Amino acid sequence: MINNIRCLLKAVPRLVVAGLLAMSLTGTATGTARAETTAKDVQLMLKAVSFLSSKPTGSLSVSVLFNPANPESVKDAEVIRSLLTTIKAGTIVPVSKAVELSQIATLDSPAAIVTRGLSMGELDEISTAVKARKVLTLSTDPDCAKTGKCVISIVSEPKVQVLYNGAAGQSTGVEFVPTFRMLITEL
Amino acid sequence: MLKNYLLATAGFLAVGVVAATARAENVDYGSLEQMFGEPVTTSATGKPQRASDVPMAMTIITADQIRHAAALDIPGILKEYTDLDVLQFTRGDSDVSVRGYDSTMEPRLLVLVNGRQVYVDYFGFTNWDAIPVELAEIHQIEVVKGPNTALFGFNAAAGVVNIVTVSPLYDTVNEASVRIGTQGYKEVSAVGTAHVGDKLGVRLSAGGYNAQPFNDNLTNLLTAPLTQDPFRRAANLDVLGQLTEDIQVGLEASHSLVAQNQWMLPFFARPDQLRSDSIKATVSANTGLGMIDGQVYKNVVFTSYSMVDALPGVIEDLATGDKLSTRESVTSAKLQDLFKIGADHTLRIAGEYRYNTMNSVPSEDVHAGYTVYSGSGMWDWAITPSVNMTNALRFDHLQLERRGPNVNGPVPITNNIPIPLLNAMTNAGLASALMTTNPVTWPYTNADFNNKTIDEVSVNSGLVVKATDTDTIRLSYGRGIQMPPLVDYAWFEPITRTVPLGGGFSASVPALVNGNPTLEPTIVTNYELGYTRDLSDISSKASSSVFYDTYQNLSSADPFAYRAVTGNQTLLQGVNIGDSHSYGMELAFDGHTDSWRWGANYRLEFIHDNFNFAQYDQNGNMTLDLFYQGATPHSLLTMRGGYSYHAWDFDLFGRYSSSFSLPNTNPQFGSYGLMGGTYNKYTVPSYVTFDARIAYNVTDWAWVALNLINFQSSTTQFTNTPPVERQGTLTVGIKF
Repeated sequence: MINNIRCLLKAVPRLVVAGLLAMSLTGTATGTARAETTAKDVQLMLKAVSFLSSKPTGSLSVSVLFNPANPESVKDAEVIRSLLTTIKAGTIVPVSKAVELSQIATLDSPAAIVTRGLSMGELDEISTAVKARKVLTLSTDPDCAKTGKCVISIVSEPKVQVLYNGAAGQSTGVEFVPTFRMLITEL
Repeated sequence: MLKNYLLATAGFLAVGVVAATARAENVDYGSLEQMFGEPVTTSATGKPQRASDVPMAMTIITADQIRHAAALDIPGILKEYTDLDVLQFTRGDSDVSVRGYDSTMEPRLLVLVNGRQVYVDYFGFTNWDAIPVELAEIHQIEVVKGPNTALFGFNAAAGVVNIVTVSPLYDTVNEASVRIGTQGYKEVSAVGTAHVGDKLGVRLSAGGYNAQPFNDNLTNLLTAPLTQDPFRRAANLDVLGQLTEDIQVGLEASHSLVAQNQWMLPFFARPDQLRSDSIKATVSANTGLGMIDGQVYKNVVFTSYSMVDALPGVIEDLATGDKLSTRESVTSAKLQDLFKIGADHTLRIAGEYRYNTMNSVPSEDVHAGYTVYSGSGMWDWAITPSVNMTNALRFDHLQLERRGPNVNGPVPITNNIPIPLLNAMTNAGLASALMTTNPVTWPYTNADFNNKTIDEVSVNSGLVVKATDTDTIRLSYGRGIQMPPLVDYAWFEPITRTVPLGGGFSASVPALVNGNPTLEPTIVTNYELGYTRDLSDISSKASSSVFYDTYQNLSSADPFAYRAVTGNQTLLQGVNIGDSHSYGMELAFDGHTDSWRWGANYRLEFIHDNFNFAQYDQNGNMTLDLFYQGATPHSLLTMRGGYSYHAWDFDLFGRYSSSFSLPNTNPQFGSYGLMGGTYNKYTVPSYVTFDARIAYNVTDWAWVALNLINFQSSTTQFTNTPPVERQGTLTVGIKF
């Protein structure tokens, strides 16, 4: 009996490694965007805002950046604005504002959620517009942070992942508290 | 050292530190847990990390799990939620260990409250009842398996339990409860927080219980005057303030007083009272050099053991009679800097000073202790978003010391020879010969201590690979250091030893229990491979690990090692007894939904001891069964399930242990039960035990709970001591 258990124990590392290799072929650890922005996504975005070094409290203006000519972006903006009316994070109470890309120069919120479906050119427009204006740009699309167009991309499923583009953050002038930075994936 | 530290820091700056200039912040565990959907900890590397990212085996028991626990204390909670070894000897006296090697006064598990050790160095153990924390104020209990002395220093040799309380600044907890139960159990507990804006927070807690010992059989082992009703009193004050945007300061003070019938060695117990006081100050600052944390604390532990044959001069005539008292204090000052270089590298450098001293052995004029200077560093490298490597290194320089009079020459200990025989022996010159030819002389002088230094290196390395979104593999190595407890170094206790004189008479002659400054620390190494899979479809997580541990130079902090040394009247002496190694595997499964809670842990372990002296059972046969390889159960299984239905909570906990062996108890203090290295073996049978909690939430601010502990039978044999009785308690609690 004891010998059998010992044999089993010796085999366990091999089984674990083999299993992991097999599983590593079936996925990546970086996450992908989901079809629709969920309440959890918005909740996590607001939570992330609460870890800004200049911690906002109370009423917080949150802009939702969209392109009225892009149906996917319009629909996402509606979903996000609807969710923002019901969600708050700690002491932060969001007040949403829809901002068309054509009017991004008027952006005056400390946080801006980038809707889905925008083109790379439009994302460029956003990242240029928020330079040095201390605006935290947030997205549910990992590529937005990876390409430096957004400061933060948040993936909520299956496991929460926060991708932080330090260069984008530096460009717009936002900073997070150090403990938060230790816990997120800095690109 | 400070100068070197500053130079080192400046060196890092020269290569481009990306340091935060944001507001200072102690770790806000609650908010971060909400953000990431899992607990956050700093107990693995000193860096804030998500539980799933730590490079070592770790279990975190959350506040919600504690709230649903049936257990009344922390060892009970560990028993319900982990596969740690928990030996409950009497009410309030439990010893906890990681991966076996458990014993009375277990020395290898370092227990902390918010980073302040509550482990008691002088005897190398944790008095769990004396921890000044109420269950309602615990945010999480972090259990690190394997050596972690590279972060926490000596004694985190086999694992760490860090109890993290709610923050006085970020959290609000106002709760009070009253509990009554079987065996005369009466408990009150209260926790309150108050905030002055968002700049100052205060948390105050207090609690305690009175109860009776579990079993009247205790008096069969300890004569009636030596038993006492256990009790606990504890209070804690924690203040945290935001001094400026970049600086936080904290102050914490605690007091506890407990009484127990404590199993000091496997074969005998003594009632004791332990008073513990602590004060701690902290400062956290965000600077251009990174996150700098400073911590200074002092613990003072006063223990009073009832010892009828202690040396005159150290006996304190307290209310209950003769007692042997010790006073131990530890002062620790630590400075740490945590910073990032670029996006991928996090570093921690730290320096620590520590002074530990014990007195009253053999008189209050004697102080024995050690001073430790430490330097440590940690480098965490995010090689890719999916691969992370952590390396931690610590160097400790320890200087042993002893001050006060050396002890030598005969010690006048009263013999118990019947008066007529004593008169006859005195007339014949035999009685004085008995004393003078057996002088008790300590074999060491102060110089033996003051010339003793220990230099040791601790290491922790870990590689974490997130193979997929849901699969994580972990490979780790650790080298940890366990210091022998101060009593093993410096205890000096003349006692009487019974010697048969023939004809039915016996005499008490002087003998010695003495420490040994030549002891070397125990080196613990750990090799481990772990695998975790998130099963989000069923709201669960499964993990497994295989481990191989070695223990080199185990010392007589392990009570099995106490032995008679003939020739110099030493009855018991601290010694390095040899090596041991173990291997095994662990499986864990945990999950919950809004209504349901479930989980299971299983551990399989085999230990092989290689000690340098022989051990014999009661039949005179050489055996190793009474060492750790026999004293650790091969299998431990815990299972739990819970369900919340409207205002009701139902939780059930089960635990199985395979059988194991311990030395038999012996009521005779003078004989110790192991004279000549012979134990009586006691086999603790395998057992299954169940705890349960049924709670009704009357409103959202009031509840009633029924807790049943070991309810499957009237008594359960957990150790070689009298069995633990079934317990039931009724709790009424309110939030205010």
